[in-house]
Amino acid sequence: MTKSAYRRAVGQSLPHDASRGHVTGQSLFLDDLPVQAGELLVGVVGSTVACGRIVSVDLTAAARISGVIGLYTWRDIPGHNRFGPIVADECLLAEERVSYIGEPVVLIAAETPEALASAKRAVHIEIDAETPVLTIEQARTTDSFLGAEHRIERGDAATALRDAPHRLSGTLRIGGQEHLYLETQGAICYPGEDGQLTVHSSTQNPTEIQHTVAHLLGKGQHEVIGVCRRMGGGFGGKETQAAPLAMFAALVTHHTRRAARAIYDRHEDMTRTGKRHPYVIEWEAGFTDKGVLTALRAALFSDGGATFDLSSSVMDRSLLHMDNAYFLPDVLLTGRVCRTNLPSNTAFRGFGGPQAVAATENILEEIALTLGEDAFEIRLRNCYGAADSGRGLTPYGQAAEGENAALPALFTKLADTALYRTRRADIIAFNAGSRTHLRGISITLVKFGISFTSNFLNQSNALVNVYTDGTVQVSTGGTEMGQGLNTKIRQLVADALGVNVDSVRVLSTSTEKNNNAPPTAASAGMDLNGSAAVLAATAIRERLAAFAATLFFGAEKDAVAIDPERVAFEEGLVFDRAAPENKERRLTFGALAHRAHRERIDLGQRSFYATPDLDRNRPFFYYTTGGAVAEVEIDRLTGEMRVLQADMLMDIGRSINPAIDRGQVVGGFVQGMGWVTTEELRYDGETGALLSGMPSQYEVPTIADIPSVFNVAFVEDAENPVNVASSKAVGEPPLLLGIAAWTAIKHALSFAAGGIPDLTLPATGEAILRCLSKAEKTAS
Amino acid sequence: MRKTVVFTLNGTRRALQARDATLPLSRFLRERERLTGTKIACSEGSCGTCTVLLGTPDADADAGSPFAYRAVNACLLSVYQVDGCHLVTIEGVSPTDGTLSPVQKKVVDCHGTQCGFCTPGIVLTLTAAKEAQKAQTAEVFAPDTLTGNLCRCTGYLGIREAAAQIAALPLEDWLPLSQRYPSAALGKSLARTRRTPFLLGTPEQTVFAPVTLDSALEFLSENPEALPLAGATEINVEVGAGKRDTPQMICWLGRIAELTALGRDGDTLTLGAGATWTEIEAFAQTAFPPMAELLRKFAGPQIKNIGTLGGNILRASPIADSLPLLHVLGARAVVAGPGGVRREAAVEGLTLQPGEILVQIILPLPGPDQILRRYKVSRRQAFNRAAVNAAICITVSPETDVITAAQVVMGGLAASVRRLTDTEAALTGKPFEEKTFQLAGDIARGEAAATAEGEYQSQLAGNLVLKFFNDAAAGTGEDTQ
Repeated sequence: MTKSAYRRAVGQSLPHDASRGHVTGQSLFLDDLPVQAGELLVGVVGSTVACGRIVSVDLTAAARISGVIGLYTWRDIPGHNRFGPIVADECLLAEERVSYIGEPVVLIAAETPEALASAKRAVHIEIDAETPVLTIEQARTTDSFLGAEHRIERGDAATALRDAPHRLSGTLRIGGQEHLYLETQGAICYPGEDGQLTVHSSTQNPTEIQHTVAHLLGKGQHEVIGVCRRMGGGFGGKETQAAPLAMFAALVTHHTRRAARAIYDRHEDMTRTGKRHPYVIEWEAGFTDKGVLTALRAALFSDGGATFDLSSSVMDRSLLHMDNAYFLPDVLLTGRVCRTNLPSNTAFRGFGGPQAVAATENILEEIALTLGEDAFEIRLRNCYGAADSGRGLTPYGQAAEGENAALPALFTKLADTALYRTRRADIIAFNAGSRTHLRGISITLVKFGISFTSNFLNQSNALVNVYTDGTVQVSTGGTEMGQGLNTKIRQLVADALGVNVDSVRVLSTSTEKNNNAPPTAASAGMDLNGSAAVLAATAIRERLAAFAATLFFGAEKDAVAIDPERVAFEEGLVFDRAAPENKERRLTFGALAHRAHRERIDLGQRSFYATPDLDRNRPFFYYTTGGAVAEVEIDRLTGEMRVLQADMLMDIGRSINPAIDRGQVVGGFVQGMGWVTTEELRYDGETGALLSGMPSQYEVPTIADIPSVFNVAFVEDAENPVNVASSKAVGEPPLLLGIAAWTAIKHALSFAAGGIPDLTLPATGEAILRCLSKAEKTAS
Repeated sequence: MRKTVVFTLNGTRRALQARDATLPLSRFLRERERLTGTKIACSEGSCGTCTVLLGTPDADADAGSPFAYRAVNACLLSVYQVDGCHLVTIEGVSPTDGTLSPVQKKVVDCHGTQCGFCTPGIVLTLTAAKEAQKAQTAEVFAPDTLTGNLCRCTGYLGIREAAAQIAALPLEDWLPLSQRYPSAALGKSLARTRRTPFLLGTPEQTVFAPVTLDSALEFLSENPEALPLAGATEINVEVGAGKRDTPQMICWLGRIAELTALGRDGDTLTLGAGATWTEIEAFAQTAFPPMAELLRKFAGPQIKNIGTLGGNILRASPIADSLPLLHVLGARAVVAGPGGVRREAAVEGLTLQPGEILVQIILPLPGPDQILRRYKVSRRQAFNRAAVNAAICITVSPETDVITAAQVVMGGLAASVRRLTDTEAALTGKPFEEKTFQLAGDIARGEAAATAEGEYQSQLAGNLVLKFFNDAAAGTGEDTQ
């Protein structure tokens, strides 16, 4: 054993820890759990109108159906019907009023799918319908808002705008986005002793499952356990909105003492749950002859849906990301959350950041078009500089860059490696020569703040158990939704104990093991839970090192020689670092664990981690940054678009697992690309019914839609010493780089006549064709 | 009459009574067999997580490969539709010794899985593609192999890399499923099963599966309320979504061999109404490449492996992708009625009387003076419903360069696929030049606007006429869209 031969697990591209189970179909998702004897199926009957007063609920016909065990309304809730992550303004089951289509009114427990389906048809709910508020515009007209105005301000934007050499203004309409996690929302509740409940949920937030179920039933939190093995995708959609399903199941179990399974089918999931918030952003920008921003005023309006959910935090993050990677000298940003009669919109990867960044990237694109310059040059001139450059502070006072001006360097590097300038010149030539197609190219940046903006959430805990054979189980407050959290934690813990990753298992997330954890969200799951796991594993290792030191060096006369620092833990072996070949001072990790246990040394550790040094002017622990180039081609006659090439460069610090991080980067980009191109939520303008309520009507990218050339790179030798293993969070930031596809479309459309294209987001074929025909009319 | 449905599941025989045999296949696998690797995510054939492999016995095959395996959606099929087949689920492709199959290994190694919910379906689709490559029914992976499998996590890059590596795996290293489940005898036995009819009865539903056209016609005469179904890709979707009640009586035509024949007679194709789109696509590769091209963007492979030509015609969706092409070429339908009486009618405007079965389509191929293009405008590149689809076919006099005949048919503009007669008139007798098509495009736009849902659709109608000219003049558009 030589030191140079030892390969740490951290930094290796190990496959996802569940990948074997995934490819063999053996991984257990929620609905794969075996059906218990007597288990009931739980279904919901919801409102058929978007807004109204409940006149009557008739359950008599449904109650007569064989196999129907229970029918419940809000009156059957023993504790509290009202809940909500920030403001308790949601009803699990509607009381007097309904405020969106599908809002649950009646809960059904049945023994078979057939009985459940019959009962759903037999429940009759009479509602006095009222005129709903369905759009941001309608909400603004009727003064329908959730909460007060949000605001970030620096300098004097009004004066700076007045004095600016150039001014542009506009309104950008941004659509929402359906999560379309492939596994729908669901929960199964199992009865325990003495009224205790265990709720398995496909949730990013087992703690919230525990808390909401206890609250619903009027129980202490100690009577409820929330568990999540894994999710078949989350993307933010299971941060808060997994809770109703858990509460449905728990209410049925409470009344029947039988296991209860509540799982939405796809249509129920798409029509009942919230989505990414649609935004309307009104902006006015001032800039110099060189296109450098001198002032920005923007009013952001989001569609929060019927209740608060997380909308106020989402708006906070929007305002905190309006700058993106660019210095805004005098700035006034305001935000209002509109209340509409739609399912409450919620967290979705990026959490308000993408909408604000789309607006800012759009503004820079428009400035470039106005000045007739390359938008890349304009963006480069607006990039944040080093802290001492006078252009280094965000509008909320945090240094964007620290010591060095990394953003312009990253930007330039990406432009060089992606041959941006050459390709742009080629595109200009192509467009001059083609009557049938237009091409466009754009390069955009992301600077994403890592930490929950609600500071109390920046904590988590981990439990590490070493067994007497030297194998290790790890549990944290973080949940696995495919992002590879467990894989990376496994690598960290393996290295902390010097064992092979195969000796380490990361277990289900359960409130029984890890209490009061935050949701796995804000890209911070790895930072918080990985840090806690390393603390726990390190504490065990230190105890074992001290014990090993007494074994190795105890015979020596000099007590100083009993030095735990000399005890090395590598590849499942424990030995004297100063004499690796000395067999007397060498044993397996398992043997050491066994001997330590015999000597009554604690082989388990629960540790707690809280992100240090956050405050009002420093809401983020650090930033994850990156850039992307997208090249697109448009068919001038049909508006059809394809993304031909994507080039990405990200600074993710020192990657714990480059392959997993690459998966996050590519997956995020494609999800963002879908949001800005093909994914469109369509509603009936009168009733508020979702018209794109199935995957056949809501087009997420297929394998045929991703760019045929797709290059992903990470900044080499990047470090992030403040964070665990010098790594950076990676979950959300790349989604915002999908915006490059949208600005590339805008660039392509600028080659048609008619001035700056008035492109909405998403840029569907229909939206693109609308711009093209407008340009044609202008030209003729 | 046989009262059970017989098939093998991962190598083990199943004989099911009506109660289980009328369940959706995905529910049967998960609830009755506890094979939970088959996932349910949309129940409408638009995600591919329920993909399973349907092995059809090939009676003519030598002992080496008794089954041809195709990826299908378990949510769309009823259990009885796998009668006489060997069904393989994700549990059945995993080697029994705990190792991974080459497909599984590549998906792991290329990091083609994140949350894992789509993964069994992806593995099975790739397995089917490799099986086809081994069986030499497909040379390489078709570009659209994976378009029927959605993944929301990975962005597909790892999956694409895995697919490329699997395609490149030497065939001699590929252990085909026929060796894993080595039974030529089983194949022969199941092939015999397929040649015997069955009748299933539950209190809610009767399903009759005839194996001859005559017996199907007889059953329909005696039971006029019976619903004839072939691929039946939509019935479970509609029942599941509450859009219709479970049909009380079904006459399932999936085992009538004479409905699936494909042939060419001079300048005419004869296409069995019960042929699947995959079968037609393979046949059209050489017989009529434009039709094969149309089918590439038609649907995901899993749907094409089940759905039939006759179903697409008779469902008569406003955006049925086959209809514009069939209409502009003047396709004829052969219909069999009570007593086996046959009649022929145009596909355009075809309606069946109760008791009738669509047998065959006679498709005249375009002549040398005809120019044909078809278009499907949709939001994404594959696996998508059309906003507007179209087929345009003109005849140009080689002497005068004048358009002597024009056929313009589009979907997505009205409640059913529509012929744009004013546009046709505007083209006929006019010179083959851009101005003609500009004027005709304006007329098409106006003509479409009368019935189209929005300006987008009518604008597309006009623009596709122009696009046709661009492509026809430049000789492009043959192998795109």
